[in-house]
Amino acid sequence: MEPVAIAGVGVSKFGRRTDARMDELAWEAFSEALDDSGMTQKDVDQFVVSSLGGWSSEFLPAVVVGEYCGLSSKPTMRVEAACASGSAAAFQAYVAIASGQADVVAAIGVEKMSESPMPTTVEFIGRAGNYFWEFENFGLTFPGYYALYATAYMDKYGAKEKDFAEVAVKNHYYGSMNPKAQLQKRVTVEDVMKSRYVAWPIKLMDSSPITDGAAAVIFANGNKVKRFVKDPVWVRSIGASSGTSNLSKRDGFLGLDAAVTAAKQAYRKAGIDDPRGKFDVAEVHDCFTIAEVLAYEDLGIVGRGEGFKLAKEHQTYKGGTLPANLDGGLKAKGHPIGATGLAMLAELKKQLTQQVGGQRQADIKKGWALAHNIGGTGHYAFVTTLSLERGGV
Amino acid sequence: MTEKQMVEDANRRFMDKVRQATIDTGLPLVPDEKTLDPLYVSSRDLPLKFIIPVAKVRPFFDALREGRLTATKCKRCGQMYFPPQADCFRCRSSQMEYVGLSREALLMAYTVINVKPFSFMQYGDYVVAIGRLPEGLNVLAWMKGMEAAKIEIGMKLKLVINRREPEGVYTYWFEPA
Repeated sequence: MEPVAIAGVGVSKFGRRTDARMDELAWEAFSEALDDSGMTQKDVDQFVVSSLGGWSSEFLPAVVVGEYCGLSSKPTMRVEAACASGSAAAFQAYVAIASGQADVVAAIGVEKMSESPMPTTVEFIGRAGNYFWEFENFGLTFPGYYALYATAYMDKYGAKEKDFAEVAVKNHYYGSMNPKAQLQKRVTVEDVMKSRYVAWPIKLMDSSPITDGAAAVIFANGNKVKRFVKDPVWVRSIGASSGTSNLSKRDGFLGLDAAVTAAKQAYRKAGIDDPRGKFDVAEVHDCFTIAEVLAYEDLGIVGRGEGFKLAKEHQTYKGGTLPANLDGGLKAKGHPIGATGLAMLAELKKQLTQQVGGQRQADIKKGWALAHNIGGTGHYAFVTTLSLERGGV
Repeated sequence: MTEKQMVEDANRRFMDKVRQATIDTGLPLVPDEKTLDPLYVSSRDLPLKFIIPVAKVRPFFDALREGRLTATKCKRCGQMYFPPQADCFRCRSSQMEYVGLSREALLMAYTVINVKPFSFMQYGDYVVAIGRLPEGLNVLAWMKGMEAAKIEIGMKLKLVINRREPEGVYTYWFEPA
């Protein structure tokens, strides 16, 4: 297997970007990644575009983005793994390089969610499960899916709504220091508790916003493109799994089985016996506050039923057991579906190389970082480990 | 005004603005309400209406009309499927029988949909529940007949099969047992 390094990253400003089309957003991120890597388009062998779409006008985002970014004629495809589409693009890039098929692959994630009226976008997200058996007659919404997990979790472990609110407070705190975040306002537990219910017990301020944005990561073969890989961050492993489309087919609602499987796979491939204390910083999938709590447990950082205590005890702030989402997370930074997984990797590369700085910079002691990206409600799961050390390959 | 009418009303006012801008300037450009950025409003509408084949699970719908909720059961290996599927992925047989499911369930998880999809805005807030049947299968459906605040995980439910208005379509839902 060839060694895979992250050679450059770029992230657009996230938010309601009424000033930019999808391809323009993609360029904002990709041009930054080119600058970061010192490469030009000529150095890129392939590119892969992650985008969910439906709400945006362009039906073939890969070629639209390719033309705008000067990548036409190179092999490409669009990949979809719902909210984990960005990680699917990273996975594709990783496989292409590790297998020797390509030396440099650009993964570009983009989502233009405000291109349809808000009710259309909300409706599309609600269909991110099984349309025929669970949407047609029962009208679930995206927070509704996670709320099913939240009620089961609260009943089993005694967690309270205000415990979940702690996750929002933390992520808004870090988002307030991230100039690219959509929501840069700090909030209190009371603010979250006062916000209206969208799918009981999930409230508006437990939820990530609807976001336009793009992120790009340029992956490179560490043996062959050394001149570009100056401060390399190495992809040590990617674990991937999936879950049933129908929520009724799940055995239980206390954790996401796909995330557990993906995490175990990622740890095994990276030679990690115990993830506790292994990582300096993590990006976890907090589309809703309950999702971040489940992430702590599914990743094996704490046991079952302990995740909400970790949030309550502020153990996922900088300096805690596992500093998580120091960029504001999906909750405050924003959640442009197809870009999210790549934005996670972009943030972690900057964290590990200490380019973030200030109050958001994690203490980098072990040189390892962890990304946890979920598509739908555990329909897809990707867990990626990154390290400053190259490892055995 | 209902939620649905409010959304439709807002959309109508927006489209009036677009039409006026087109008459005045020859371009469908309107400023975004918050940022004032110019937005080009596409003239091409695409209503989505899905037409879904059910030939392979037709007996499920026939049984539903007769007031029975059914799963498919593989005649070769006995694997049961709900929602019903026509093919057994375990033994690759397509020889299925339809078996009636119990009407009792235990509540595993639920939520109240407060912010509804546009296509469900004709309803008031509704409860979506997942119940476990004695057969070991789960059913996801609405739960009616109980105040949301009184619902408790683990409570006994019964399945009801009937037409749901205003569509008048046969479906199934839970009620407290």
